Amino acid sequence: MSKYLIAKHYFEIEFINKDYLSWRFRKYATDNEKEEFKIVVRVKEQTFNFSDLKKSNSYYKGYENGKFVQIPLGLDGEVYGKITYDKNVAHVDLINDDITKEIIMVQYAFNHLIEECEQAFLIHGSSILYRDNGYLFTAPSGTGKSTHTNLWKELYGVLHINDDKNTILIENNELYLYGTPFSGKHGRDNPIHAPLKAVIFLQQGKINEVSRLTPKEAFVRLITQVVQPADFEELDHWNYFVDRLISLPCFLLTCDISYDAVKIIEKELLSL
Amino acid sequence: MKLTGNYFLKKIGPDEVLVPFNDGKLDTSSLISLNETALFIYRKLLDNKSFEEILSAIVKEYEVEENIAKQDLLEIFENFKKLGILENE
Repeated sequence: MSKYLIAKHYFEIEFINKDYLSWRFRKYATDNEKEEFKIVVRVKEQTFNFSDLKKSNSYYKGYENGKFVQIPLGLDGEVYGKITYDKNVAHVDLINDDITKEIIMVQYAFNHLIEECEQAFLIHGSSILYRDNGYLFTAPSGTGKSTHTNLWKELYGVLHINDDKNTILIENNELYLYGTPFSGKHGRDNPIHAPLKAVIFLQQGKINEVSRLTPKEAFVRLITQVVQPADFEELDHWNYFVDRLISLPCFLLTCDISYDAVKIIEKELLSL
Repeated sequence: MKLTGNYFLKKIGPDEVLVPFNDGKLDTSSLISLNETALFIYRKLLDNKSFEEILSAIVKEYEVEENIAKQDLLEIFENFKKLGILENE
């Protein structure tokens, strides 16, 4: 079992696909002996009883034998397995051995465990560290978020904080972006964190232009990119973070794939 | 008169919108902006006020004649029902 320091917290994780996932998580490996959370993944034949569980948009949740369980669902509704939480330990029982599903299930466990001790929130996007601040570029998949932030890397050598599922924590009443290994297909992430200074919504266009969004305009674009509340119980938490995010400077960047696109939004960000 | 519970009221800066929330899923394609009167009525419904109580509150708040207020209230209730905000009785 290997130990990792992810978003300020220590996770001991036992993977099935140890070789690949230990490599994928290598930047977060630590020798620290502190015990905080444990995630144990295994393949287990199982049957599911959904009758006592509540269905949300992406998983079933509820209690079995007094323990909180989650049954995450894939985009097509496929069941990957079950996660059973026993205090600070998450038992991830996969139906079959599949690396992609293993990462997704570990991410569910990570999110749940970290929410036990932090005000945490997930948002889809590609984030970078630039001049000590974090900037989040978000848009529907396929728009070119990673392509755009990679231009920043080429031009200024910036580090990616995360390139897919960004973890945001609140510290001293400020939003901070934290790097995690859950960073999508490119694996662009770093064990760093930075205060989130602005949110930039991207859309493809032939002319590079930028405009500042009102909170309402930002809300409409944001809600498709954040993890949705599973039910009304989670709505207060969701509302709080969405309000915090749309209170930040939010921009709409219409752009092509060019350094000019980087420079036009950089100018706005530097003027904040 | 009962709200369906399929929406929640979201304050966004100076605006307030109704966001559809069904079966643990946000429908982000159809946010509903309410005018001042509709918002006033929605808030009363949230407080479980009856038709008569809401009518009386409108007359008092907007200083309108009761028959005009009643007509407006019925129209807004009808729209609320069509949008799935209010249950069909």
